[in-house]
Amino acid sequence: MSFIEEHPHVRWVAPAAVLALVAGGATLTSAQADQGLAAKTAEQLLVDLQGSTEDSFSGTVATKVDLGLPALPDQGGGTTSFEGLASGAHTLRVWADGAQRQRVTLLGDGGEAAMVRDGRTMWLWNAQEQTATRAALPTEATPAQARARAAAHAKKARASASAGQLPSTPQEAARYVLDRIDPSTRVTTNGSATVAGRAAHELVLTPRAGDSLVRQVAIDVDAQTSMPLRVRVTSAATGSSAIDVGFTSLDLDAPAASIFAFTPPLGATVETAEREAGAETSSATPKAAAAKDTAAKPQVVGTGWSAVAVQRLPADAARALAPGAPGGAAGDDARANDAMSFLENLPVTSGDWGSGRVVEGTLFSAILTTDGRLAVGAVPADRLQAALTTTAKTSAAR
Amino acid sequence: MSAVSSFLRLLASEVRLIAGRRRNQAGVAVLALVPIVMAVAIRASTAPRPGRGPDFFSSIAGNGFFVALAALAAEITLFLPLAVATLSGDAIAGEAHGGTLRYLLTVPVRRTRLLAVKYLSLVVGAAIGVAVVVLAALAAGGLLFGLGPVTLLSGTQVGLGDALGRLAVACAYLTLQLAALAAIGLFVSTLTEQPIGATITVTLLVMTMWILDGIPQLDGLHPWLLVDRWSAFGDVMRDPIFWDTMATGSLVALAYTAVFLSAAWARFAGKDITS
Repeated sequence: MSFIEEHPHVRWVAPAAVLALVAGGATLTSAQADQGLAAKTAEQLLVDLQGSTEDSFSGTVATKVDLGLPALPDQGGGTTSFEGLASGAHTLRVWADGAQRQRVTLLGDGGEAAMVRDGRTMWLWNAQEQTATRAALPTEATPAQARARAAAHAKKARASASAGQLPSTPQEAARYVLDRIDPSTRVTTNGSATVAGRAAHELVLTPRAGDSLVRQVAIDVDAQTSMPLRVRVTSAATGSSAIDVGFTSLDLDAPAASIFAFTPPLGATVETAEREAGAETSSATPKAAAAKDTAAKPQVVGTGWSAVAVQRLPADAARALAPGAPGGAAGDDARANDAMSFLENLPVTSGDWGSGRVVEGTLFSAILTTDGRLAVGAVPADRLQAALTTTAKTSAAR
Repeated sequence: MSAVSSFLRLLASEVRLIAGRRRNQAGVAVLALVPIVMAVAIRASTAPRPGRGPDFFSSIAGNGFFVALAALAAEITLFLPLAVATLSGDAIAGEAHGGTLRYLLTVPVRRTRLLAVKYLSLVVGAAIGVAVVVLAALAAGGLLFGLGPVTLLSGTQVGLGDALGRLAVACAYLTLQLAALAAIGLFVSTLTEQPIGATITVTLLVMTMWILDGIPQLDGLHPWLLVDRWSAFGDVMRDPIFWDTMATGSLVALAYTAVFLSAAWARFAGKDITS
């Protein structure tokens, strides 16, 4: 008789060993193993970030956003669309081949939203609605040119501000940036991390102001290519990350050309968007656009991370948005009604500045007063109230 | 007579035994009925509801192919796991209950080999279950809506052959998942002599995992639940196929299979067979 037949309980070692193996394997793969990377200073990491030229890759990105906002009125009819990225956890697939060709798809249960760009042609696809929208990008909107323009702009601005002190090397630029943001932000490195199976350095930005809702911003920079792999914004209100966007897998080979070819399938609704791609967002909210055009520049109270912007909305927009105002958003469409009921469900707050509705999120808060002022900042609501009081005084004094 | 061919003969006779049972035939009929009812219901209703309803439902009216995906999505939550639970209840507990297990062991068959045959027959049963759903769905869908080029979720249009290949991948993935459930079922089946008890236990386990999977506050637990990535079979309809979730899901299924098969072996090989 063999040992195992005399001692039948010994057999249970087998499942226990398998379980230990599985648990151990899972823990090991998810462990943040120290990669033995040479430590880098914040300055070196900033230099590396500027030198990153990696623009051909494919990968999967996981996003997790918890802004702590009340549920917005349902506008998409439960379909998968890019607007949904503003809250919850999502998976994106991204492909890029140079500055001219990109494809981003948002994966949803039984749905998919896609943005496919090849040169000046951009397609937006929604699987559940079976709609394909074609947009022709304006020539200057190609990222390379836009970047060049922005650089030229920045150069001009800096030249006028501080002629003769222009940083000419990445090292100088990094020093320059660090010097500029140092009064408000502590920039440190926090060892190494593993993102999408790749070794990365962690760059940490910590606001010096104690009253900001942002506790810290952590950026994981790939050790090999200096590409940012993951960004996490931690909220001071909850102590956990409010925004967490990072690669879960990454392949640095250029994707096949067929990835960027999009042909609307038969039976789909094909639309053409003639306007500029940039105009789309502002035209979606005509009131906001109107407000932008006619309102005065916002007053900014405070500096750096605890800055609060106070904006007086144009009279008509204020009237339309003011909760309970007679004739406000006179039921012209369902969306406006949704917005109204959204506003009316927000808590009311008041002080010597007046009264209004308040939104308190994990990274920012906002107050819309009954007299049409909007205060926004990455600070708790009581700071907004203080800012509203200050601006009321200054405008009264004026 | 080689060991392999005797093993295969044992497996074939076990599968014949399973297929011959009246309750299993009834079960197959129910599995086939679901996609047929779905296809007929959508054919009968006139109002299209774009963007609403469970996965792939809205695409059925345009192409019968989608009946297969919608039917898999509907049946993987309960009917297919229930079928595996029923078969695994019969596997060991059923034999013990009927008093046939000790006769099985009087013929010179090693317990480990008997257990392996029982497990493989469960896997074959699961594969047949998935295949029945898909074939019934394709037949009903093809008849009522016709089959043609398929528009993938990513907006790419592929031929029917390509789409059927993707469907086969989805079937293989779901069979692997059900095979992991069969390993749990086989283990539970060695614990009791009441087949119905084993079936209910396995069904309750699946239901519990679905409920836990639906509670967002427990998201740390979700990746460890067997059912968590079952719905990922729909990723075959993306272009290119999105493998990440299915790959992780397959690893989880293999881990469950390894743990529960070895536990079933430890229990069954050392068990006193009295009935």
